[in-house]
Amino acid sequence: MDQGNQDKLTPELEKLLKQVRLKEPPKDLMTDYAAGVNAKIEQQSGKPHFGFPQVVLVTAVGLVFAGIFYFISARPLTQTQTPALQPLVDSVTHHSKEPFGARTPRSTQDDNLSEALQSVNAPVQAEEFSIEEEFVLLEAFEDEFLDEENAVLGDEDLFEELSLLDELEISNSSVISTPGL
Amino acid sequence: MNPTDLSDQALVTKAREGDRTAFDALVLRYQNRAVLMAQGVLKNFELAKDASQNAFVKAYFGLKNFRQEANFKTWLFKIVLNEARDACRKEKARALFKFQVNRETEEGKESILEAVPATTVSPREVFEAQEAKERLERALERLPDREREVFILRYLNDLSLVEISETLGMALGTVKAHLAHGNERLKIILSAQCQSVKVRE
Repeated sequence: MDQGNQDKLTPELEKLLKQVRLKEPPKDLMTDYAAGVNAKIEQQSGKPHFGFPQVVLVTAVGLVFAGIFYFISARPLTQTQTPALQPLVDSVTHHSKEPFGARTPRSTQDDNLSEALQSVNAPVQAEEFSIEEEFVLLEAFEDEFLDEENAVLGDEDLFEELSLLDELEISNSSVISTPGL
Repeated sequence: MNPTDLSDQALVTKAREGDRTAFDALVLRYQNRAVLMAQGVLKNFELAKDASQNAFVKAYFGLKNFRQEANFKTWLFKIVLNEARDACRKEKARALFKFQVNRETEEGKESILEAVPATTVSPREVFEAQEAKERLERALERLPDREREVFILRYLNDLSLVEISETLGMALGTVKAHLAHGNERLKIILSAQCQSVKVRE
């Protein structure tokens, strides 16, 4: 029934359709049609086919190899050489993170530093550091100032006073260490 | 057994197993309709021949994914139409780079219709048949693409509505709607043509 409604043609259209049909392709031009299809099939069979699955597979394999190469070549460089520097870094980091007001006397600081240096097995000065190791050292020696400290640093009078205190400490320690006094 | 006597399903099964003669039999069976279907889109025999051959090649390599229970004819026609549309798009893109109007393109458009040979040699019948062909062609040109496709597949290719829906990849309801609208529009266009002829007379 549904089909009947859509297929209901006007008498004029029905008459036209009876007088007309699809034109058959010229026979002389269709004799080589099947041969043309076969030739195209052979051509397609011969050439390598790079479809979407092949592209995905190649990309995935490439990423896997890149990951393996990274783990083999890059990571051991960061792991084997940093342990020798770690005690030194830890010591310096500890000093740099001290609150600004609570400063340990210079002599104590020197002792701690020399201990840290002695604990390092390999002669640090003799080795050339990689870029990563240099950054680690720079970060360790970099003082992290708190906001309060930044505010204080701007005060020149206070800065002068603190330098005077430093000089007094140094002179005291030299008096103590001088024999006979 | 002659491959031409076998059903589509039997030939497809043999072709999937690697029997090229079975596939050649399928090509022979559907080559004319494939070319006509492509020509309906491309309006040019050579382009239609090339596009339909490419469709057969795609069908050959796609046989391994073809579901046995599906209809080979509609599956093939779907590939043909897609290839023809792709070729049409490429031709239009090429035409954009031509900086002058190419009259040859207009003249190269070939008709896909022909008048049914008259049972008698009456000149009047021959003339009427030729005129009918031209009228229908002009009217079909004025239809929207989808409605024209559905109309041609239904009344000139003798496909059922279900086959049309499989070929065009649209729902059955949509096919029915296109067909109904197409018929209605053709009725209006043809009556307008009649009126303009009467006015001229």
